[in-house]
Amino acid sequence: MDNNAARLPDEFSPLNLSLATLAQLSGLKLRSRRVVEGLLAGEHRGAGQGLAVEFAQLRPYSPGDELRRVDWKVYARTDKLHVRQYEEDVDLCVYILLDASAGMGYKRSASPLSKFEYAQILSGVNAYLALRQNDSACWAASGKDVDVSAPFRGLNQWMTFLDSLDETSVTNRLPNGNASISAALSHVLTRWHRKGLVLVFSDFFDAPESVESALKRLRAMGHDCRVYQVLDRDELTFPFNNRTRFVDLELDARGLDAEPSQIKTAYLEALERHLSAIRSICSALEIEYRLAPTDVPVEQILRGGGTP
Amino acid sequence: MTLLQPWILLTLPLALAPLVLYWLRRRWTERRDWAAMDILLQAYKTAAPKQKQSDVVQLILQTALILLAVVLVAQPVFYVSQQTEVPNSQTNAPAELHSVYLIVDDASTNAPAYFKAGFEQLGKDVRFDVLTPDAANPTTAQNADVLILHRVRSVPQWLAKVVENRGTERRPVWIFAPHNLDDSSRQLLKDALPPLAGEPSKTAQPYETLNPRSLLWQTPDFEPLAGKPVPFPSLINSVYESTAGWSAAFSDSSTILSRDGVWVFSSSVDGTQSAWSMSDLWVPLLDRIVTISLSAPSTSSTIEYKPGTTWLSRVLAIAGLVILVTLFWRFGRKPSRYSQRERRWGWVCFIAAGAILFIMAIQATFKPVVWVKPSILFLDDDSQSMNLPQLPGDAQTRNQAMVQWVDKNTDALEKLLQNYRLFESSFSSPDAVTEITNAADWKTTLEKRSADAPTSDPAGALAHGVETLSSQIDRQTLSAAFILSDGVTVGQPAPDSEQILVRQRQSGVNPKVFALALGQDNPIPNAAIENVKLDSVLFAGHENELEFQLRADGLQGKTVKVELTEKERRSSEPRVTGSKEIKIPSPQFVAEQSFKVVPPEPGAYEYKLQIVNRDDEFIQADNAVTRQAEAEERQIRVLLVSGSPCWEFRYLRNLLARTGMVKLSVVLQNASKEYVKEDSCALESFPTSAESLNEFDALIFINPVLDWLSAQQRDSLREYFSPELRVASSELRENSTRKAIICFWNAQTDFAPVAALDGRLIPFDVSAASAPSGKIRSAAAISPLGQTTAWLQLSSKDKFDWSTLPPLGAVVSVKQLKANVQTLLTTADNASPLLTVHDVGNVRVATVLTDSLWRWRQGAGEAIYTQFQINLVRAMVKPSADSRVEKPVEDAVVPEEWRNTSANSAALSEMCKPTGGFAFRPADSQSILDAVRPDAPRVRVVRPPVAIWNQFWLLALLLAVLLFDWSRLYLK
Repeated sequence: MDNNAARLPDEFSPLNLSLATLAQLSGLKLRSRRVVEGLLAGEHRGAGQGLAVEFAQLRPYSPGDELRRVDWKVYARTDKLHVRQYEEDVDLCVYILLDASAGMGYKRSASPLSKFEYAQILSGVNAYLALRQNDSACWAASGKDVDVSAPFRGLNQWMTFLDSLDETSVTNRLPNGNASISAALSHVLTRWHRKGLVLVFSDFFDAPESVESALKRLRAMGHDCRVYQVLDRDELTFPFNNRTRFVDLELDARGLDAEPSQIKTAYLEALERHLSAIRSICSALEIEYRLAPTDVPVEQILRGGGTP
Repeated sequence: MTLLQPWILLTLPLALAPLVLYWLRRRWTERRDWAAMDILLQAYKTAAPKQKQSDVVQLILQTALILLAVVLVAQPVFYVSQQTEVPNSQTNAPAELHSVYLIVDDASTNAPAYFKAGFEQLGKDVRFDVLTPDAANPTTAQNADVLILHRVRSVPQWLAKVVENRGTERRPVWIFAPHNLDDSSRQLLKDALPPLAGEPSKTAQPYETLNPRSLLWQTPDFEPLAGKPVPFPSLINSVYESTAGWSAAFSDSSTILSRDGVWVFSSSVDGTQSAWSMSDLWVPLLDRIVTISLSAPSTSSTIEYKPGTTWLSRVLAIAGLVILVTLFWRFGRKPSRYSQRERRWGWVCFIAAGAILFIMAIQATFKPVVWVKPSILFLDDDSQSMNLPQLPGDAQTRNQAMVQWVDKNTDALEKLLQNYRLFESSFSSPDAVTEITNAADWKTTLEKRSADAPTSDPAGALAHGVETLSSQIDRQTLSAAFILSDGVTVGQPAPDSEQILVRQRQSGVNPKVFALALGQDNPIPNAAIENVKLDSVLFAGHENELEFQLRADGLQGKTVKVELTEKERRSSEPRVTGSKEIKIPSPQFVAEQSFKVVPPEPGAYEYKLQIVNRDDEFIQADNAVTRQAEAEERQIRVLLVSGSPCWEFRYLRNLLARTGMVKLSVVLQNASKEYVKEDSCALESFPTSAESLNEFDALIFINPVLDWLSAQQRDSLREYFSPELRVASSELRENSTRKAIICFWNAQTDFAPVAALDGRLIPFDVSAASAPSGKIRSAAAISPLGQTTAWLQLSSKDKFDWSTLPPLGAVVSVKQLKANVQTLLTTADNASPLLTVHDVGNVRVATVLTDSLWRWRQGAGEAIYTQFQINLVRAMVKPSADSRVEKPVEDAVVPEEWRNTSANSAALSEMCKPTGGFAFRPADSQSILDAVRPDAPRVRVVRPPVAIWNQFWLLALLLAVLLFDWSRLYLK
């Protein structure tokens, strides 16, 4: 555990990130599987060639090349001027997109966290990982409007990052439906030009087609992407018995009176179909997919151990 | 066929329980916000229709299961509607009539004779028992073919129970004149009777309104009379009134009611009323009684339920099991909608319900077996004979000897208590059986119990005691009955060993009977004067006979001296007019003796017979008897005229005929000739000439039919109280007689003919606004004038309490009397006169505004009634004799049982022998141990098997299990 993490206060509320949790993240690094664009030298392979230690290739000298880059040993052997080229290491830009729709506010009575709160924790931890390795991180929350933060860099800005993240909340129920995560993604991509790692935290209860469309655009812009589908255990198991009036969290005036025991099986089957569709889209677009039930520890999710 | 049972209606709504639970669940909805609404709606569209169908099937199965269970326990039954069927003697051949049991308050009345004669005319060879409620035997009453309660005033508890039992068995009880009942008895009988329509029901059994008219008049014998005017209109009218309920039947209104075998005849259809019993209707009515009694039960519409067949119940149970298994299978299907814990509870409930249904399917019964201690009953004699000495000359009484015996055998009784349950009861209240928990307490109880019961009936007490105890201990293991008695019975039949055996066989309980014979069979020395006969009216200067009986017990070889003293009431000096010394030849000597009595002059006399007291006598109180007599110059000549042979007429005629004071002639206007012939003093008709009528000192009219008098007879009657012959009362010499008319009117009497004849005969004005009206039931009270009248002092005490007399029926209610009328007695509320006197010419007219003075004989005894009537006649005929009218002299009362001072151990032995027991003396202290094995083992009693499969509690348990489970699942 590094010193910055050790200074974190125990009462890291409302995000509920404990020192123990952060300690368990000590071996983790946030990596992009793709080439990213960075402004500063960093741990990630950049698109350009710079002054790094790792040799890349020789190329014939062109006028205007710096003489100090000429490889004189090669000139002696070949009588031709060649310039030495090295790979460029740049910093990573981590984009975090939080689904702040009303549906993310669902929380079962036994659970301490709503889906949104759980997504906030996950976001914070990912930001911690990014800032710890001198990468930059910024977040956007998709509610009625899309809030986008400025980039943060350095571990000393982590607390600032968390504070700004803490100020976001789920939107209220809307009469005509909520902004979908797909629309929000399309919106933020107009702001996030620099290729980086996009982390999406949502329950993905949108239509699979719109999700696919948004993710395709993201991939086309060259971003690496990781999808966290945050679901409550109730949504996964439907454990209800008593006759219930289900009220839509997102769309006002939509509800259903039902015997849970009567529709449980059909619900679980429909849910499984939806999850499979989301998984398939991610797989096709080479996007990493992680299911994040809110009752699974954060570090387990980060290590890829979420319940599928 | 119907499945209805009275109580099934209560349980059938339970079949709706699943529906109610389902409905409640639909009402109670939780609200839950939900994010994955699209997915949920998609699932709902897919699954809801199938699930709804499943729920409907589930509800149908659950409801059917409850219905099946309810019906199974209720058992399918067949419904049999019996229309009112009146047994008809011509179509139904009734069973043979063997016994008629008539219970009357006063067996000396004519009622038993009329009943007996009626039954004899039916040509039935029957055993006809007439007994008072005190002497009647419950078992016989219970088993009699025809049981009749006639004018019974007080109904004991056991008789009400008999009525109830017979009602339950649909065996008729015929209650004649129930208005005679006292309040407590009336309530007792009402409680015992099954309720009528409209009355609070003791059971849920439906009753239909019964029309007694159809029951009574359907026979050919009665049909010609139905609806037509007959000589007895009140009878017919009363029969038309009906079905107003027991309350009405027990009131004075006229009704005949029948329900489930209990028939109540109100007063107006009293079968022994004069008009009835003389008529041709009496015998047919008795025939109907016999027919209905022997054909019972079939006199009312009933709904009978009969249990269904066994196989049908089994089929229902198996169907229930099948439904349960189906529900079980559905419950166990996966994926289940229930949690693991709920499923665990569900298994438990299903298994329990299955077990119950299995019990129903195999129709399981339970055979209870218990081990009980055998029981012994001790019956102690508490009659007055127990106060006699245990031994002649001994200071210890038989009662004390009994207590001493218990004291001596305390250890033996305690040993018995270890292996037996001991019960004790007394002869006077054999039904009050109490358990003896330790011998010392029992001894204390016996010491405190006073021997004051007037009579004892060992056999009856034994029967009642055994029956009561048998019912208490469920007719099991009554090992022995001990009678602690001297065996003396008075007025009761001697114990009949055969009867005891028969009774025991009937009850199924055969205890050995043992008797502790107290007292000695030798009589205790005593002499008594009994059965003194002296005419109440003697004639001055003539020899009159005074007869008596001398009884001497245990005085053989000794001489008893008897003296007769005569005392003229006005003179204070009695004088001995006769003396006898009688040698007693045998231990139990009874001899008829007599003295000649010659009153020197007219007047009132007291004659006292006295045994000169002996030191060796135990009972001194029976040594003297006093009789009163009136010495007259001649007899009072009385003509008794009655419209019909009503009760008032009968009692008064018998009374006047008995007394020597009166020379009686009787005219009975409306009766059959056979009846009139009974009366030797009857005239053919009312005298036609004034001369022959003037021979009578007094005329007594009891509801006469004056319309029937001829013109000559009317003229002679008018002359009888002609005003021209008026004589002032002051001119009457002492002991001289004058003319008198005494009239008894009832409330229904039409006074118009009398008014037409001569209105002065009646004490009120018929045409005035205050015309008389009928008034029902009233007690008598004496007026201020009556209090000053000597002949109305009926008691030797200072004041006679008139309210103690039984209430009268059918009193004429009169608001205003004529000016010269004196009122001597009134109704209890002082609203109407009851006895008035006034003068018409030279005739003194006394008017009794009721014809039910005879009711005073009930309860109050005959003495008051006799005294009143004799005083009334004498005072009317001899006004100056007021100061010499009879006042009773009260001799010392000797208990009835003391007449026989000998114990009767032989009777006790006779009782014990046929049962295998014996009688023993107090000295045989070991006999009790010899008689009963003190180490008797407990008795294994196998009680009758009880069907548990069709019990209500089993159904309740099944429903509770099912509904608990379902409500838990539905309403969680």
